[in-house]
Amino acid sequence: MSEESLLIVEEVTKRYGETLAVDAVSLRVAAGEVYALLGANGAGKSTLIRMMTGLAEPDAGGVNVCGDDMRRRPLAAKRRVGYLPEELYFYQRLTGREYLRLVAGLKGAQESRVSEEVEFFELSAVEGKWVGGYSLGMRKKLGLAAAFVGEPRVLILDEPLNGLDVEMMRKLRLRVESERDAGRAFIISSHVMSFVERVADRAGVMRAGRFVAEGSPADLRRLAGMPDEPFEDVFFHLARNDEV
Amino acid sequence: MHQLRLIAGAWLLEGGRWARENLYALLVLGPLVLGMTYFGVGRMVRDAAWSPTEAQTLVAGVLAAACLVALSLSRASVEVYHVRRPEWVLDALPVTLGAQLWAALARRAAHACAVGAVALVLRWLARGEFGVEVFASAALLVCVLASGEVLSALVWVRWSHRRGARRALAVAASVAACALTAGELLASVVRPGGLTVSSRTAALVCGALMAVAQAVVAFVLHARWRAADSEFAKRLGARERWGALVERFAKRVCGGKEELAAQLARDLRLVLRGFSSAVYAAAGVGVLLTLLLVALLLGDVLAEGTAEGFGSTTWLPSVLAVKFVCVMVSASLASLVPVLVAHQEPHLWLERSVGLKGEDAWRAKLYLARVLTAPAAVATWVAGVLCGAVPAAYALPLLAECAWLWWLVSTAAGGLAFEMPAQPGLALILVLCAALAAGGLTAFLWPIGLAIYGFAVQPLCMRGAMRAEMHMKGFEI
Repeated sequence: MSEESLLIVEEVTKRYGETLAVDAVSLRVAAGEVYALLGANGAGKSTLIRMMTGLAEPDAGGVNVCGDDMRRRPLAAKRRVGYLPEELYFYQRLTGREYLRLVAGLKGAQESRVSEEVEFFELSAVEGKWVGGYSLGMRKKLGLAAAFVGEPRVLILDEPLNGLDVEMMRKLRLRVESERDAGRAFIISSHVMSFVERVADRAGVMRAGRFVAEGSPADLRRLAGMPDEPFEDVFFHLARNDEV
Repeated sequence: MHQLRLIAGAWLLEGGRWARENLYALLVLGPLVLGMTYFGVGRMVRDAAWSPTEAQTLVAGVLAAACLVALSLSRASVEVYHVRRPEWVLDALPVTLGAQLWAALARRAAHACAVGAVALVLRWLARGEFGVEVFASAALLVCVLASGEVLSALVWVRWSHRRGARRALAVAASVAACALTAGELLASVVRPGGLTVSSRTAALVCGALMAVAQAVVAFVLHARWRAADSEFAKRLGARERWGALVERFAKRVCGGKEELAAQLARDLRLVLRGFSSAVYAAAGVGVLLTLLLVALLLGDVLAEGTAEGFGSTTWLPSVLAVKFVCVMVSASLASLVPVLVAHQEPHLWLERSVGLKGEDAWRAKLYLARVLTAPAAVATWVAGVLCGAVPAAYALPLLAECAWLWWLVSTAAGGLAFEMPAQPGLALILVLCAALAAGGLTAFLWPIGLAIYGFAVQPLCMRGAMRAEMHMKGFEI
């Protein structure tokens, strides 16, 4: 892991009416690091991710990607980010390949990358079919391929495992590890704790819009005082226990 | 420009494939509708003894344009902010704000082209002459409508987000400015003899200036507001205002049947929250028609008839006017039912997974049609009575006639709710035709309604329930 921070989130706050979704959260993710964002539903993970990707504007604070401020230089910042949202909406009557070519074109990426991603995510058999006919797993793979296209330096993946089969989950984990070793930074939000423990260098547990615990999976185990229990129990303890 | 080309390319590809899927509607039903229009409306227009004055054409044009802009508010805001649309990806990618707004404008312009084409067809039906000026007016109409719809959508979302009287005024002003200019252009295209030279020149100059001004203001406001309003646009309409009241009302209407009451309460909530701008348009048309009725009853347009006995009061021009407007307002409000059915199509898995019977789904829509159209009967009857155009002794029988018309129109509209669930445009035409035909005949002679009800509406309801059952089972109908 390098010391260079590719993603810097500083004191970001987001409010929806009376609800404080994210409360002055700060975060740094270095090159070659996988950061897992954990928390129960409604903890503020997705809002934080939306602010990191420029889909939502923070009420206070700022996001910086590879030296570019998301508010002042959004295009430069977005050029460095690959994003997989939790909810996917595709053009129903475009084929998978056409969709990936559109994303690559808008990112200014080479079209040859499209074929590589199609092959990696095992979409070759369906790349010529309309996305409207894809299964949940196929759609997720297409979303992942779109996120990886263009060699972004920061990858933000919201629930990347939903709908994937075991083989593809393993393949994705290996890909994340190899991309991390190549110097990319990852933010991953997932409810699959075994995946998180295995792949994450650091994890942050959110509750009510704030981090209540942060550190490596081993640190979190120590903090929870649960060295041998499943990581799921550790997460549950940290996410629910008011005394943490 | 490269980005805009890519986005437009994706749309064109998808649009082309959609057209291929709907070849039947485009190649068979399209010419059918055009033919019927030519031989029906065209003939009426050409042979009409009365033709509107320039002022009347202008007013009609402005009203039509205002309805168009109001109708497209939610659609345009969805296109600008990519609410639950595949274009969401543009916000996460390095796509410029300019390219995003140009894309929204292009999309709106494509829709407005249909309006321009209809205006030109109307002119052709009325045997108007075609020249450069007419085509320029039609092109400007498209530009003014597209830029006006996008600007109004931006201001509308801003007002919904931040509220305040000033922002509400801004929404009204932006819709009004667009409607005035587009209405003038529409009138100059549709009116066969054209407007006077001064009006024509004014329409063209105002149109050009307005299109540019609206687009410039839209670009400025979009750059300023997008970041703050984008998230809100995705939550628009998610506020709860009526709560328990709607549920209690739905339970009472459905006689305590929980599965019907739950659906009706949901449908009413969606309508009250303006699930589509069609809600505003239908309500707006209803209000306009009621105002038109008041104007007719208070003015001297209607012939003064005398009733030969109590029974013939039903054919007094003023009484007939009340009944026909009652039918039209009911049909306008009932047209929301097929739009709602199409809107709910992606979420139907819920009903399917809980094993809801098709008949219950259909009956809920029937109740919805009745609830939505009930104000029409009351409003038109009140307007008729308060204007003093209805003999006092006939007030109660007229109320009964309005109630009968309401029942018939809403039953016809509700019965057809699941006729074409995937094609709301065609379903809308079908519902309007059936409702207006059944209601119109009954308005003229109420016993005809009994025959219609017995021979057509009841079988239609049975068919409606069957279609709903098939739809719930996932058959493509």
